[in-house]
Amino acid sequence: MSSSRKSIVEVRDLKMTYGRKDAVAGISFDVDRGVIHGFIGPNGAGKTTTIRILATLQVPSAGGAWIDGVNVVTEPKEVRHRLGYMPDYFGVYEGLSVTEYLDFFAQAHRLSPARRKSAISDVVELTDLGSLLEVEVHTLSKGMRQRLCLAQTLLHEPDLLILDEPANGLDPRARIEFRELLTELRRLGKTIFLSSHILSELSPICDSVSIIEMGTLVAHGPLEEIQQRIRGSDVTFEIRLVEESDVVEVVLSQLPGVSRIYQEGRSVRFDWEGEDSEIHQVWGALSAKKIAFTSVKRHEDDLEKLFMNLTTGEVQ
Amino acid sequence: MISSMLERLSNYAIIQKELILRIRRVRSLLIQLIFAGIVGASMWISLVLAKNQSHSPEDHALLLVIIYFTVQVVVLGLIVPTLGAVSITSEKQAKTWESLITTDLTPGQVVSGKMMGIVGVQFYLLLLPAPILSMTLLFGGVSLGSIAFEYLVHFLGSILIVSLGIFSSAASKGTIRSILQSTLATIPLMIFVLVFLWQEVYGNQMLLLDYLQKYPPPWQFWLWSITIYLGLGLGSLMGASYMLSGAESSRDISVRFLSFVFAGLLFGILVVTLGPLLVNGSVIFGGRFMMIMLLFYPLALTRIAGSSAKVPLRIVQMRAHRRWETRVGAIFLPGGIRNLLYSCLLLSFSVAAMLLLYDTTIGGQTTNFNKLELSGIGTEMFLMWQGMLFLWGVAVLTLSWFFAQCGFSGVVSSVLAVGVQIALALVSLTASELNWSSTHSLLQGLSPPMQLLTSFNGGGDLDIELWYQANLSMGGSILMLLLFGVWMARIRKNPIWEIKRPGLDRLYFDIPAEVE
Repeated sequence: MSSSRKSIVEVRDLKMTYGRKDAVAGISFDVDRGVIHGFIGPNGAGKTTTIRILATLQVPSAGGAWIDGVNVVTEPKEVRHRLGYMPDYFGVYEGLSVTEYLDFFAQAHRLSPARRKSAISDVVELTDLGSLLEVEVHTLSKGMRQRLCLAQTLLHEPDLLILDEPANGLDPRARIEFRELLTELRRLGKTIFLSSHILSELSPICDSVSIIEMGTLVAHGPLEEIQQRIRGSDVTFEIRLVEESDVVEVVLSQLPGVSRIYQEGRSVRFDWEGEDSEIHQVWGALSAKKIAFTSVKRHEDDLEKLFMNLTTGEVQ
Repeated sequence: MISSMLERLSNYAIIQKELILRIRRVRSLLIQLIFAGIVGASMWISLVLAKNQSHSPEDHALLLVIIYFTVQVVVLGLIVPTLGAVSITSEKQAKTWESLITTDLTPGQVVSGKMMGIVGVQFYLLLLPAPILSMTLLFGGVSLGSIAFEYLVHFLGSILIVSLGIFSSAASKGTIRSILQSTLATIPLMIFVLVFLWQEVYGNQMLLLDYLQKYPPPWQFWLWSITIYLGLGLGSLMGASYMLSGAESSRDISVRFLSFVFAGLLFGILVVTLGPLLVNGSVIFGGRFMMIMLLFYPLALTRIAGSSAKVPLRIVQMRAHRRWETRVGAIFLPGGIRNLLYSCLLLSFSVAAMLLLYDTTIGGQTTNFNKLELSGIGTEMFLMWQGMLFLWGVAVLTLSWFFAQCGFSGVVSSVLAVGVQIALALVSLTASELNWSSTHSLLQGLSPPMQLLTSFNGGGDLDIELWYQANLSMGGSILMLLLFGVWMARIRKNPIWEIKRPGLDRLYFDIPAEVE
């Protein structure tokens, strides 16, 4: 099923209009094969609408989207063979056991009895549901249900997984485990298209991101590229003083390359525009004024900061 | 072996899931217990009552069977609509629908799977008390054939109710609304059936099979019953699949084709069954009634004429790929002016039926619609009426089509077109009642149905001047609406006859280039 196309998701001028409101206002982007792609945006930005169009559940007002080169509007059945979709809010058939549940979806995907058996055993192993096979679905925890739903989307071996807010409602342990599971899936060659507003969840695992606001794409591409573009040469440093000092801000402000100084108690943050090799001048100037500090932390622009820089916070 | 045979069914996954969920739930056990309890208790009471009245053992047995089947009709009438009504809405409310529909299953397979799952449970419920019932055979008075036939009728009846319930479920957003709809549709039917059974069948100490043997209905009855049963049952299931399919899918082709066949069949049966009846004395009332009923037919067709002007993308693509479904007949493809032509085609069935009924030999008897007493001048006047009513029907459909070209949805276009007709009928009626002599004929000509109704009072005479005016105004409006409709379609970039989606072709049919 896997093709040689570089991009597995291709979106062109995609538009979705409800009455006079553009939920998605003509966005275009591509997602490369084998990556974890974060689709980020505030509530009401158009994330779920875009995802539902990609998952063949909704027809766009204009524009097009292709999964592995197959049109989501005109060939929905073909597209469904290529993707596994996990909605933001999903239910499970509570009267079924885990095995029955997976068997039902395997049959619904028209897997032959032999292939069904091996597919179920593979996804159960991957999602670590082996000890729960005979357990009824309604007794599973939220985290386990999430795994079960992910297992169900993997049964027909899709190349692309579309997960809408998968970390919603999970406790910290379940989130970390789920993140590890996604990393493992990427290692197995799956492409994961993932939306979330919990940015700290996406930051460590995403290879590329699309940031959407008010139906418009405000940034798209590999994470480093966007960071580079937004940041320029800025790096933020945070130092922790031994004791509170009034002079530290004065000292720092006199140094070339230092800007946006912000002090709160013993914590001081500043942006550094100079070269990394010149930062020792800052530490030297502080030492010269006998300003002692216990730690220095270098902040790269994380996803959260990028998101705040790129979006205005307006909602439709 | 049975399992592997069943597994070959395209909707087996759904059937199996439905059966597991329905049988395993505690609620299901409660339903079974309540069902068995009600049936058992009623049989016990009937036995005690019959014993006190010192009937013969045969009478005891018959009374027992009658009470059992009466209770079964009531219990099924209350349970079965709910089973169908929750089938789709429960999936939507439990948020399982999206996971289900993104598998390889089509909406049609989901609907048929649900149907077969429910019917399986229903079959089980029906047969649950059968062993108790079979005991009555020991007493005599009832035959195994009568009981089996009774079961068959109940089973077929409940399949129909399940189909209606599933349609209601597919068409509703909420479970409560769906249950209410299907229950409200079923209860009057159940009351009618119960009244009939107790008045005509059970009340005369008979079972259905005995009744049919004693009073065998004419062949027309069977023709109508089977057609209506299949039409309602298949129509509901097909309608449910239609509701659940995407708007850009090819769902319209099959629905239009089957509607065409069904409409042809229905009017054909009407001619064949009604024709021989029109030779006797009841012709005046029957014919008039039929003409009045047919006035509603174009109003129902406005929904088709006013459906979306766009051609669904899937159909455009299928056509581009030369798929046979799009080659059978372009008139069955939705969008553009085909919506109007297709609805006019369906409308023409009613005219054809009326013309056939006017003078046709069926079963050695010649029908004579001339006895409608619409006019003393016979054929000519009858044909004039039919021509005018057909033209009126086309005008109504064109109006609905025009509204669709202006961008209104199918329902709104239909409501607007019907609303305009009601307004014109009221104006015409007012003119007629108030005897506005100068403008009378002009205003009366605005609404041919009202003209027809008022003419019944006056012996069916048709004012020739009025006829000319009505035909002229309707012909003019059809022409104007067509011209303006085409103009609107061009402005809104909708197709007229073409099977394409202007502006979208490149995006939807060319695979985009790789990202550079």
